[in-house]
Amino acid sequence: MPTEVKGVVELLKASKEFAPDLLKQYQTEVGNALTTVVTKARGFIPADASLLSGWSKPLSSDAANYRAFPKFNSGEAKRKIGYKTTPTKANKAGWSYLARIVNASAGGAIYETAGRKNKDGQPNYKRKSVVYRTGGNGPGDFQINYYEEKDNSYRKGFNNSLNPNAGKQFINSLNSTGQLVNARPKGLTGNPGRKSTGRAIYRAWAEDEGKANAAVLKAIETAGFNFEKKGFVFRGRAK
Amino acid sequence: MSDVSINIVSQFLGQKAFDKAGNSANKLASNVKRALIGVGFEEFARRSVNAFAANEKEMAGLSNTLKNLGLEMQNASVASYLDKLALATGALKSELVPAFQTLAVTTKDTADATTLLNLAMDISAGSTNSLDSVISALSKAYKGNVGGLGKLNVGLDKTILATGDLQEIVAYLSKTFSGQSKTAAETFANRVLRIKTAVEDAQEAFGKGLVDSLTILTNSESIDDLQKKIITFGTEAGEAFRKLAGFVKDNETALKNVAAILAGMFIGSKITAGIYVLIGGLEALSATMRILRNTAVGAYIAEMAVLNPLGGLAAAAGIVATIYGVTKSLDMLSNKFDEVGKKSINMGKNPIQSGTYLATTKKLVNYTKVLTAEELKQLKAKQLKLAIDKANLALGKGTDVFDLEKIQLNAALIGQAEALGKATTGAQILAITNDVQRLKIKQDILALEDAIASQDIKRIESATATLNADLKVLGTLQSQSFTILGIKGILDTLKPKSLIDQENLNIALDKIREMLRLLAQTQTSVVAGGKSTRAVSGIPEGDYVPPVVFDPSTSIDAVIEYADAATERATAFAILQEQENYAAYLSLIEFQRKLGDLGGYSPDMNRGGGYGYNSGSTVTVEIVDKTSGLIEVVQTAVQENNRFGNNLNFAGAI
Repeated sequence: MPTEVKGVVELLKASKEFAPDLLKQYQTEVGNALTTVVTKARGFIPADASLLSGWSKPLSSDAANYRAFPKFNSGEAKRKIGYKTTPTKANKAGWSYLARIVNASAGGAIYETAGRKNKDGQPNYKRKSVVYRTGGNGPGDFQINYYEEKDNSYRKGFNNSLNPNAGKQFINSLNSTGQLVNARPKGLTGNPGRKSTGRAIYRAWAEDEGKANAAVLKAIETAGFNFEKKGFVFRGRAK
Repeated sequence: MSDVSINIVSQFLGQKAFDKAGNSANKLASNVKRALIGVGFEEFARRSVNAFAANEKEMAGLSNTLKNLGLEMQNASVASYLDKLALATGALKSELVPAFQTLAVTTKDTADATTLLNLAMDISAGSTNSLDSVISALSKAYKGNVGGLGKLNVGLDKTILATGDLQEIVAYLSKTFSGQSKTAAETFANRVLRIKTAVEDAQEAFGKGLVDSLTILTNSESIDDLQKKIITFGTEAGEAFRKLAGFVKDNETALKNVAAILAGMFIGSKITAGIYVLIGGLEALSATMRILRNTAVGAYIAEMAVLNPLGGLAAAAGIVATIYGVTKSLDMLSNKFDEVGKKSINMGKNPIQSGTYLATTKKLVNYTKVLTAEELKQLKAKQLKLAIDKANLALGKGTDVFDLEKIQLNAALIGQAEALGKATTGAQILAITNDVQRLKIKQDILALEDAIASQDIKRIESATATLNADLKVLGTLQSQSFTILGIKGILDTLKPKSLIDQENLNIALDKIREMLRLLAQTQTSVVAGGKSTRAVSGIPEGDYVPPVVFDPSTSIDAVIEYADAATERATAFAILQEQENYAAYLSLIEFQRKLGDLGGYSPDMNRGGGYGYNSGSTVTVEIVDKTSGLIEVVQTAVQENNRFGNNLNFAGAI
């Protein structure tokens, strides 16, 4: 009676136990497929000097009791772009991802995604003006301008800089080194969401035009085929 | 933001989502059940009988055709083939039967017709042509007219068509469209069709069961006989009803038990396991249940579950709901029978007087006993099956790792190693250990096979455990082998490099000396003979660490000593500066404290980021018009006073 596995996750688990050579082969094939995208993505990471100088300068003090805005380091950002071939844990909806390309550094992730939600940076608070009529509608009146407080006292999601154009200037500087590209395959119906848009890994994935994806699926097919050749049954072929 | 990623291939594993799906299925089942209990059951029964009638008509037509062609012996095998083909591909039997009939008439051979039908299914699945059009073209081609095949646009060259050689054409088409229908059957849409086909088949089977039941229950010898009885229902219905109700009353417990078994099987969702229970239960009750053909239904569910668990589930759901509905109807019939019985047969007598109570109770007790014994038997069989399944699983693993050729090869290697003397490396020792472990697994497998033959559950479990343990040991050994190979690979890459030798060291030292010499020249120009000036650093003249003379003869130690001293001195000055700053800060605090209410003292007033720093406050005040109205107020007052004669130019006046 052949040992039976279902699905790719089960195939990989079974391979790990009964045919580690197949697992190694699978990981190598997937790795080869994804390395091309990773290498290309690393090429899209700019040098420190190409961006606003303050972003890559080290912090003046390490005594801050909050997490400062992450600094950008070109070398670290490139180094932390990579791939993973181990399946993830199932998410809330029950889906597990078998292979991933990651941009794991904080600076790299900011370079990847900045401007995809707000192309001109985070919005400023709404400015409000109140005039105090101490001079009877004449000289002596004075006006106070202030930024209206939102319901939440925490200012996340708003421009915290004294410079109202800070976000726009920051994003313009990033755009000068690489544009945001949507990785969604062309030809699909519907609106491409911003979630698959970026300057490094998403751009590299888009420019790869599905070749790496096909190679990963092929690697799964091959693993299943080789697994069956060993006398096991694999019923969860990639579709 | 630190996990920006592209997810490439995904698989659905979710337990939560599956639970939700399960709940939805349960709700659906209960809704179906509810619908079937009411008027829905009648509709289902009517459709079932119709489906059975339509299928019967098609199959009768095919059977007649085969008989006319002298192929009546193939009738059963053709019917079976078409059933399986419909289930495997999701094609409708209403399409397959006429198609096969056409091909059988053309070829006058069931084998050729089967081959051509399979080919037609592949072509239809692999192109945009309907099955009908492909069958028509193939039939014509079989008779020599291959023009129709060209119009199908299936890639046939005119040269191939011009030859008119059907064998060559069929070979080409088989090669081009091989496996298309099988692939198409695995698509989601076709899986749904396959489930639909399975449910329709279940409906046909149920319809057949109903018709057969009516035929048997009314003591009819054929459908014609049943029809006559239905026509003369007005006169004979009373007697027929009595017979039907009597049968139900006699077999009430048995019918309910079967319904319970089926319902339990469905609710537990353990179709495969449930089928064994079901078949066992049905066998025990076969004497009565054969009449209603429920054994056929049970076997049908079993077949569905093996071919396609989802199809089996759907079929089981429909049938359980149906049987549940039937049971309800039987209850009603049974009650009616009691009423009729009271009124007609046992008029004026209670059940004890009439003897029906004792008879019914006896039957109930007997059935309960049979069922209890049967349940125990089934439980035992289930345990044995479970143990055998586990053992077979382990055997599967064992068979995989036991490779006779591999062992022979390794044995030869070991022999060679022995011939050379002794094993010289860890890898060789590991290989020998691997082989010994494989042989041990082989022994375990033999022991397990013996245990299975003896059907001793404990022995099987023990042998399975031993085999699994040995397999684990072998797995560990293999991974060690892998690690050793990995280490070897790493070692191979670490080839010695002559980076550090005396010559390189000398060259490096020369380079350092050259650098120091150049540095010394630069420093000399800056410090101007080793003297600092107050104007630049604020350090009193003459207060400095005398620098070393940088030239090739200066030792490294001297340079380091100078650097340390200079650093220490700079640190001391930095500390001094900080202390001065702090003292100034304290004096500022003191000054502000003296200011009192004028500036509003706060302990934190000199801390933080200063103007513009946001520490949670949300109001930014910006004074736009800095002009004070005071001047105008004073000016107006002076003018008013002057106007009213209050001259302000004189001292003492208002």
